[in-house]
Amino acid sequence: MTDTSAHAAGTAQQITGAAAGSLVARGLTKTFPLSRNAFGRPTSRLRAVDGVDLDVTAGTTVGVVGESGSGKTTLGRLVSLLERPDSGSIVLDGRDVTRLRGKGLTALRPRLQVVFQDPFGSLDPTKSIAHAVAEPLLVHGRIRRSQMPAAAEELVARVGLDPALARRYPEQLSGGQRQRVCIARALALEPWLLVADEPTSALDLSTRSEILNLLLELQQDTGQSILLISHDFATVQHLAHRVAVMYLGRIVEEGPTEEVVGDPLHPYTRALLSAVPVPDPVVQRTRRRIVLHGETPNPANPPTGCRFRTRCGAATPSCAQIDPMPAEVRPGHRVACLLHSDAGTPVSAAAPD
Amino acid sequence: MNATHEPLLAVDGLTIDLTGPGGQPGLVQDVSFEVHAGESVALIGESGCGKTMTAMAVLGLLPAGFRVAGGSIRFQGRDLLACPERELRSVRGGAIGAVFQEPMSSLDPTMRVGDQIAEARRLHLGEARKVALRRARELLDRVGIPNAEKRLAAYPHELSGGMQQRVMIASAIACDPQLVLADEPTTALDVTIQAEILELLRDLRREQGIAVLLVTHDLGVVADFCDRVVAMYAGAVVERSDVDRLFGRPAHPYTRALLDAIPQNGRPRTVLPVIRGRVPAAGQFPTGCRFEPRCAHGGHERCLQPQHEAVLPDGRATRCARVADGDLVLAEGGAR
Amino acid sequence: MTTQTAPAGTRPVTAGDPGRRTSTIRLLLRRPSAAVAGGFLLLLVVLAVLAPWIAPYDPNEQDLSAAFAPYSAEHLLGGDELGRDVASRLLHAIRLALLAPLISVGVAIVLGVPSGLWAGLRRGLADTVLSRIADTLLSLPGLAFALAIVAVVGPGLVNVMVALGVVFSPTLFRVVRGAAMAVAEEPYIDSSRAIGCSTSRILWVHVLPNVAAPLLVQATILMGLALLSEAGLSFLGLGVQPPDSSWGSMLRTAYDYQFRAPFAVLPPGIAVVLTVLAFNTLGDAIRDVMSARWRR
Repeated sequence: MTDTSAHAAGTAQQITGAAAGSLVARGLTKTFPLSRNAFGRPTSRLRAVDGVDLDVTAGTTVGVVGESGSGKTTLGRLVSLLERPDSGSIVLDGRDVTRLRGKGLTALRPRLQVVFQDPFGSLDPTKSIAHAVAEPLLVHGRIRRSQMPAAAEELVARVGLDPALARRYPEQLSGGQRQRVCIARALALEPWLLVADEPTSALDLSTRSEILNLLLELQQDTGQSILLISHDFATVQHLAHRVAVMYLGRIVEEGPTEEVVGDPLHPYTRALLSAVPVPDPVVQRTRRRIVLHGETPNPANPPTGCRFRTRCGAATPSCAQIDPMPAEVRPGHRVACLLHSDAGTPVSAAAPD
Repeated sequence: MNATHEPLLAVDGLTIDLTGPGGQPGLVQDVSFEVHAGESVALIGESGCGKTMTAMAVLGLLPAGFRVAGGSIRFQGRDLLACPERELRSVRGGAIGAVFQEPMSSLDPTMRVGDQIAEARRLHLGEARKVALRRARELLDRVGIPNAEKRLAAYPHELSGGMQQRVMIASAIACDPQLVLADEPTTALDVTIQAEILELLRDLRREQGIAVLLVTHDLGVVADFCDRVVAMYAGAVVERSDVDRLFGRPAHPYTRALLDAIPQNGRPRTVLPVIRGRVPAAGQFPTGCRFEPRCAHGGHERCLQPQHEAVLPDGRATRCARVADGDLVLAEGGAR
Repeated sequence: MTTQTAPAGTRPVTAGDPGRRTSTIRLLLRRPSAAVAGGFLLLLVVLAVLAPWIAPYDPNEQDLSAAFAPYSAEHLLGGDELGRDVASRLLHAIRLALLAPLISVGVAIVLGVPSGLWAGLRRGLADTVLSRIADTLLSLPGLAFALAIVAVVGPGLVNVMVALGVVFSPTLFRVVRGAAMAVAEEPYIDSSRAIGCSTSRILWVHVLPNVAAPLLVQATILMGLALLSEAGLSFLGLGVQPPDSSWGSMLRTAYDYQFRAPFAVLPPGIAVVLTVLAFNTLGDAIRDVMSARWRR
């Protein structure tokens, strides 16, 4: 490759959009009704995502890590515009898309695509692979029905599968092949932002590395941004430039991956990282494990103040009084913990909620 | 390693056939390994490698269509395959406790937690309900369930996943077993909960000398918890080793490739080595080395012969003929 | 259990014919019961088409000398009270026996399927309203309700079958709605929304084919039921009007003269039983095949 063509590619990308694929989410909150009264009005609500701010710089990968009940999947669905937030805003490439619906939403879809966790469930079992991967192009009028097979073969080949697979049905493919098909389907429209929700957790170890390689290569080729949602620190660590750690609907720590992994500041991040066993017995034996005690609180009834305080080894009485806010403690590294910053709102102020 | 030389569990040449149309003779082929008292052995491999089938055969719980075609499973010197079903039942749940992947589907949803744990003692030891329930309370304490007295009366769905798995463990150790067979006990759990459960199993091993046969695909868990490793691929044991040497100097191309496929801390955003191709489906196992079509060192004429387990001078066992006689030397070094 | 048995589930490619999946029809035909039932129904269709040519007599030609004739070489299935050839009348009535269920199930599909899909996918107010309507219809005794409709619009085969279709529609609505609700939870529906499919595309292209199995099963069972009801209503004189005959009206007359010609109830009776049986057997087989196919 010569300098000129590399330069040309760079300019082309600048022309498609100054910051194609940048995401700015502010104050995202999503609640789900837990119980309803006789008239169908919700009487109690679960705050799945509670005031989350998240930025994805164009062309980079941001990982969201959390355990079950952390709200990471809901956050992914909000950002993919599959769910509408109760409050907050989602700005994609400088345009507020939070309240888009109908034609406007359909027109936006090509820029924003999703890869789901379950490669077995996310392909329609009654449709061939060719239909699955070329359908996005058909729906957006980019191709005619007669062009589907050719387009499909091209897309299938692009994710490293044999084009002949396009004639098969999902039931005939292995998990790894299906996940490649899902990625091909998501990439058909050349999105600027790809939301990948646990793209490898249903896959075997050897298949996982294939999918990680594929996501990496595709990003290097096309420069799209990726929001990678996972419970697996190793996956996020491998792909993401920045990582956000979620606990009970909040982001507790967010920063550059090496910094968060190498020197975690929030007690929960520390516990989470120490709980991930390292696949090396010699190293693993010398590691200090932080075993958390107590149950994960019920997300419908989170603790007052800091939500992690009930399981935190460093909790002080003030943790129950003040709801910590994410504060930048180092350049580009935010932590919501009273150990590291005083930022927060007194609980009494937040109570009538 | 042990005072007594007789292993607690000795699986020798176990072969399981999948019968019926599209069947696979030798779905599990010639599997041999031992578990000594108090030690922790990992049975690893990807889905479809036969590790769960092997574990099920030990429990005498093979699903319909699967048939033990050869070999022996000796537990405390007794061949379980030759045992009548009645005797097998006294071993299963008695001297061998079992923990499965999905606690919610392994516990009876209509039965109180206390009764489920007490049931094992009543069945195997003939204890009265009251006595057994008192013991169940102690067991819940033992596995770290707070408010044990109150939880005795709870139904499984009222507990979190981690708590359910603790209940499973309590009922697995209810009759003071010598061996707990745990099939992916933490796969469905969050990592912080996984750490707690592994901690609990570690305590049980230390304090009660219980041996654990852990079926898992998570190499991190293996490194964390196990003494020895039995690695399986396509129904055959490809390598047996102690955990340090497996991660430091694997003796089979498959285990080497698995270790290489783990994302490495030091080198983020680099292309990971992959294992080409797919695990062969049952009924389509190669006649030679079963890993050969995907092996980075395949294509050698000796790979086309059926492979047999060979014990290396340092005590490890490999099912790669070329590694066994020094023709092939695999790279050293662990995952990182 | 864990995924250890996966080889059996993920073994799509059979050695002989790589890459091609067996069609649902072929899977169906591999089942002897389904093949026999399907073959029988196909035979009925052929006979219905060929009836004018293969029937030995005009179905309405009266020959009083053959009245109540027993089974013979001349009149294979005997003659009826007016000496008409029963075999010929039976053959000509196949057309009605197939057409009548088609009309009522067709009406039921038109009424029940789109509404069921819509209610199952969108939930909310539309679902509540549609479900209440369906519940109300279901709570009425079916045949009596059909009789009431016929009383308003008048007798006649088409009227009866349309009325029956209205009676059947809430059953189909319920089946489709339930299945569509389950399908709506599937990740591939989210995936379709994510790529920008319109609601109607999702309904027709992604939900409908996936609820086809229970829909087809229910539809075949309703076909059998419609045939029975048609026979019943014609038996009561509300369906097909003389001189046309249906299996039901033939049963009716045979029943009237059961003491003079006890054997006369057998041909139409057996025809009804076999046909209903064929529909139900086929429905069962479709359910088995399709649920096995789309189970992962």
